[in-house]
Amino acid sequence: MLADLEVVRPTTLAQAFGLLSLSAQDGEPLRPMAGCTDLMVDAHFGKPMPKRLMDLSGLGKDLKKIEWFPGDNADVGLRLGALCTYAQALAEPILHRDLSLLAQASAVVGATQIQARGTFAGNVENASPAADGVPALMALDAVIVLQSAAGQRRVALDHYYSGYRQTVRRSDELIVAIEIPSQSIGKPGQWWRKVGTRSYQAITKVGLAAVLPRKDGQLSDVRVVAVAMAPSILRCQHVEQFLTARAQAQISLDQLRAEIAKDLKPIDDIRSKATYRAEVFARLLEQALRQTAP
Amino acid sequence: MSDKTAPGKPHVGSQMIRTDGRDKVLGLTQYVDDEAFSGWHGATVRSPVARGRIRSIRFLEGPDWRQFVIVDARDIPRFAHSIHGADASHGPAEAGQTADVDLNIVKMIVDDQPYLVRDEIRHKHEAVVLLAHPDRDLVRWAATRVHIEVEPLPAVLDYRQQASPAQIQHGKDNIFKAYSLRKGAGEQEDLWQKVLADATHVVSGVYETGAQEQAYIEPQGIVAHVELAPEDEAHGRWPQKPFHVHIRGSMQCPYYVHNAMKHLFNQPDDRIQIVQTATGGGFGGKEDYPSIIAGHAALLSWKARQPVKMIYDRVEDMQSTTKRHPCQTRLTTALDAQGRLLALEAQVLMDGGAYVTLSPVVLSRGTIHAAGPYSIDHVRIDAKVVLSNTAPNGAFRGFGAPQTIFAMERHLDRCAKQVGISPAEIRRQNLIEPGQSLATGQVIREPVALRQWMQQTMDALNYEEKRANYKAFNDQQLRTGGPLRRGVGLATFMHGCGFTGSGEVWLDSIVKVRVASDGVVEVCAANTEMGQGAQTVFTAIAADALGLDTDQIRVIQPDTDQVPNSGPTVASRTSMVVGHLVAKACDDLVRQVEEKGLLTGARLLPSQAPISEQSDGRGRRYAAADLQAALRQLPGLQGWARYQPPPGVIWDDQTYKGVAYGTYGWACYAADVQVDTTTMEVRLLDFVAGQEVGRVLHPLLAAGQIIGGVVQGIGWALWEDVVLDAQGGMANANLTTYVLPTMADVPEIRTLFQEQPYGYGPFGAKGIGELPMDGPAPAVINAVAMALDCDICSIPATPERLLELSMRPEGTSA
Repeated sequence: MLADLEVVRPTTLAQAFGLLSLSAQDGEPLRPMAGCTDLMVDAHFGKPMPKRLMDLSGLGKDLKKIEWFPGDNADVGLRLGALCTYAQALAEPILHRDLSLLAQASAVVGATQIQARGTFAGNVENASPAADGVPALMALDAVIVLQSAAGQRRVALDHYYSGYRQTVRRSDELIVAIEIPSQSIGKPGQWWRKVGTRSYQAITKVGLAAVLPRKDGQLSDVRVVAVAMAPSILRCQHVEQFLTARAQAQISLDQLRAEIAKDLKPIDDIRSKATYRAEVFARLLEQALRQTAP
Repeated sequence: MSDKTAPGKPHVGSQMIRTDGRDKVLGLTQYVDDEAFSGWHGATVRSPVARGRIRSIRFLEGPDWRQFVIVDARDIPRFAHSIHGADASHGPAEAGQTADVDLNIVKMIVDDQPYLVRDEIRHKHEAVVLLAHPDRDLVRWAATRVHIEVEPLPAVLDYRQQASPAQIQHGKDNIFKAYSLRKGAGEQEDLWQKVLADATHVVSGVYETGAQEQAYIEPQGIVAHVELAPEDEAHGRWPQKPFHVHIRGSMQCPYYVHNAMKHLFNQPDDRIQIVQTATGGGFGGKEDYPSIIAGHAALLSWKARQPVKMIYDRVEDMQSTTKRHPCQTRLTTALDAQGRLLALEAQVLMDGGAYVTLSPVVLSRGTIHAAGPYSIDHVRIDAKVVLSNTAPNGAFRGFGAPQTIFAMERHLDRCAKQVGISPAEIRRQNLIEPGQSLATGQVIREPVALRQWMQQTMDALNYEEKRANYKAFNDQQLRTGGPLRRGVGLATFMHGCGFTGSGEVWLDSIVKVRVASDGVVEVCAANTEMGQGAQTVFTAIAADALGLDTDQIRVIQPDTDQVPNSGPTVASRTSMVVGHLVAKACDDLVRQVEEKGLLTGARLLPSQAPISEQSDGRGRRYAAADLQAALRQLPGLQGWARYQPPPGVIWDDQTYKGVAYGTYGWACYAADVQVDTTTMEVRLLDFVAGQEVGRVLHPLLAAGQIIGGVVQGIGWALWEDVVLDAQGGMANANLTTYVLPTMADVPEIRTLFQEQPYGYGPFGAKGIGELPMDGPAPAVINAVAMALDCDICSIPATPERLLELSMRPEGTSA
C-alpha cells in the first residue's frame, strides 16, 4: 500500500548520490523513479514494490537536457539526459533526420500519455525484454552513463543486461545520461519494426531494430537487435557475423532462420508463441535487408 | 444539432441531444463508486482450482481478523419453505423441520449455483468467503491472506471432449440443455438421405468461436444495506424478524436482482428495493451477474450491520464474471448445381461453464439463428450446451446468435467456392423472400428485400470491383514476393427482436407514466440506461406520443419501489417492446384526461387510432399548451400499458416450430481487409454495415449502436482471446494482455439504414442492440480467407493462428 512507501526527492545531483550511497550501505537501496510508467502498472497489479523510492523530478535542470557532446575524432555525439522523455526527443528535428530508428521507436511507445511521461533511462533500467526504447538505442551503440558518489563509468548498452530483468547498475549508482556516439548519427540502413498486439497501447510480441549499412555492395558494421525474443533485449552475434561481408543476393530466409536459432530461443507466453516469434523475426530481418538495400 | 426540435416537430427520428449526455460529458454523472458512502467495504476470497472439495479455510497471520466481518456458506440457512411473497415473520428451519429451501442459490433458470461454495468448488475464482472491513485497501489485502485448502476432483477443461464418469457434475451427462429443430425431410432419416444423395454438392465444416469479455468500462459494483428489525440488530444470527434489503448499483435488470434477493433473504416483494445507478456499459455482462455481487454485498451488510460496498477491480471482474459462450458448430449442407441450399444439418455445441445460468436461453437463440436468413426446405439442427469447470458463460450481446451465424456465413463462402460461384451469388440464390419460411417454419410476412439491401451494402463498399482488383493485386504480390494480400467479405444475417417465442408473454411487461406535481410526465419503467441511449429514446417516444416538448418528460431512475416490472434491458427489446409500452401508456394517460373533460382545445388529429400505432411519430391530438394545462390540474394521474403479443406469434417450445420472433432486424455487412503476410497482421481498410431495423428512432444513437457492435464483433474475430490457465481460470484477465481493438485498429465504420416501419414497435421501430454483433466476424474472416486463399474456420484469427494455418501442408484446415 502506498502509505508504506518511503519517498525521497533530492534537488541536487550531489544529494541524490549521497542518498543512494547511504541507502546502499543500509542494505535497502532506494529505487530511482522518473516517469513511473512501469512502476505504477506494477503497483496496480499488486506486484512486489520497492519500499524505498527516489523521486528524480527535482533533478530536471541537470538530467532533462538533450545536448551534443564531443565524441571520437572531434565529432560530436548526442547525449540524452536521464529524464529525457520520448515526447521531448520526438520534438528534436535531428531525431527524425539522422536517428530514424529512435524516432520510429519513440512514436509508438504506448500512446501519447506514456510518451509524455516515460523516459529512455527508465526504459533501460526497467530491463523489460519487450522494451520499446532500448532496442533502438542498442542498435545505435548507445552507452549508459552511470554516476555515483564514487565517480562515473560508461557501459555499452549491449553489455548492460546481466539476465532477465537484471542490469549491471550498482545500487549506489544512477543513470545520468545515455550517449549515442557520433558514428551512429546518420548511419545508413536504419530499420525498425515493432509487432505488437495492436496498433497502440501494445506491448511488443516480437520486434527488430537493425542498422544494415552497405559498403561496396556488402553488408558491414551491422547491428541486429531482437525484441521479446530473449530474457533481455539482445544483439544477435551470430546473425551479425553471418551478415557481415555478405551481399544481399547471398542471403536466404532459410539461412537467416538457422542463424537466428543460434542466437535466440524465444518462448511461449501470454502474448504470443515461440514459433510465431522465431518465424516472424526471420521474416522481419529479411524484409529489413530488402528495404535497406541501396 | 440543437437542443430542441422546432415546436410541433416530432422528436422521434430527430437528432435530439442525449438526455444523459450533458452530465456524462461534464463528468458529473455519479456511478455507484462515486456516490457518497458511509459504511464498510467488501472483498471476496475465491477458489484456487477448477474443481475440488474444500478441506479447510485458514486465516493467515497479518490482518487482525477480529476487525473483519467474515461470511461463508454456513451463514446462509436452509428454510422449511419459501415464503415467496407471503408473510416473512419466521426464521430458519428449526431442528426436526424439513429444510427444503436452500437460500444459498442464485435464483435464475436452474437452482444449481450457490452464492458461496458449500463444499464443492466448480470453477477457479468461485466465491468462497466474503470479508468486510471499514478500510477498502485493508479488506482487499486481507482477502489475499485467506488460504483455501482443496482436495482436487476431476475437472472438465475442454467442453468439446466427452466427459468421463468422474467428471460428471450435472445430470447424467453434463448437458445443461439440448434442442432439436427439424424441417421438411429433416424429420425423416430416409428422406434426408435421399436429399443428400440427390444433391450436386455436399459440403461439411467445423467452425469454432471463442469466449469474449464484455469489457464494459465500469466494472461490477453494488452497495447493499440490509436494514434489520431492532431485535435482530444485536445478534449475529440470521434475522428472525422481517427486514429490508436495499441495493444500489450498476446493472441491466433491476427486477432480476429483485427476484434473486427475494430468494436469498426469503422476504416478500415489498421488502426488497433495487435501484439502478448510472451504469457504464453492460453488453449482457450486467444481466445476471449483478444478482451475485448484490447477494454478496447484502450478506456482508446483514452480518456487519452496516451498508457494504463491493466494487470489483478489472482483474477480479474479468476472472469471475461471465463471458460469451465458446461454441463449436458442425455444418453439412446439400446444394444443387446452381448453389441453391437444399438441406442444412447443424450440430451446435456450446460451453456453458460451471453452472447453468442463462445457457438454455443463449443456446435457444443460437439454435434458431443457425440456418440464417435463408430459405432452406430441409433442416435439422441439434444443439446442446454442456458443463465445463470454468467461470459460467452467460449473456453477451447477440446471445448465442453470433456463434452460429459465424459458422453459417463462413460455411456459405466455402460452399460458393465448391459450387464455383461468388459469395454474393450464393447468397442471392438463397436469401429468403416474403412468403418463404425460416428453419423454424416461420413464414416471412414482412416485405423484406434482402437481395436489394445486400446490393446496397456491396455498392457502398465497391465490393465487386474490389474483389476483381484484389485478385489481380494478390497475384501481383505473389509474383513479386510482396508481403501484402487483400480481400473483401460479406455476411448476410438477421437477428430476432425481443424475447424468443412466448418469452415476452411470460415477461408480462408493464409500463407506467404518471403526472408529477409540476405537471411533468414521468416515465416509469425498469429498463436501464447503460450508455446505449434508452433514456433519450423513451423521452422522445413519450414526448411525441403526448405531443409535448421533451422538457415536459422525465424518465425516472429505475427503482423497484417506483417503477413497474417492464422486463430486463436485454434481447434488443427496450426500444421496440418497452418503447411501445411507453407510447401506449401515454395514450392511456391522454384518454383519461379526455374522459375528465379537461381538454377544451380543439382536437388536432381526427383519427381515433392510438398514437402508439402511428409509424411516423407525427401524431398529436391536442396542442401542447392545452394538454399541459390539463396535466397541471391532474398531479398523480397515471397511465398504464401492459404487453400484448402481436397476433400470430405462436411458438412451440417442444418442437421448436412456429414464430420465434415477432420481427427481425435484417442486415448485410461487408469488410475490406489487408493482411501483411510477414506478420499475419490484419488491417481493416473499410467496413460497411447495412441493416433494416424498422423506423430509426434516433439516427445518431442508432449509428452509435451499430458502430460499437461492429467494433466489438471485429475484436471478437481478430484479437480478443480468453486464455485459460491450467485450472480453467482466465490467464489474461486484464486489458493489457486481453486485446481489445482501439480507434487505431478499426477504420471508419460506415452505416446504412433501411426503414420499413414495424407495426408493433413505437412509431415503427424494431430492436437494434444486438444485430451489429452478428455480422462483423464472418464478414471480416471471409475477407481474410479471400486475401490468404485459405480456410479459416475458427476465431479469434490472431496473427499466431493465421501463421500456423498458412504454414500447414495443403489440404488441412483449422
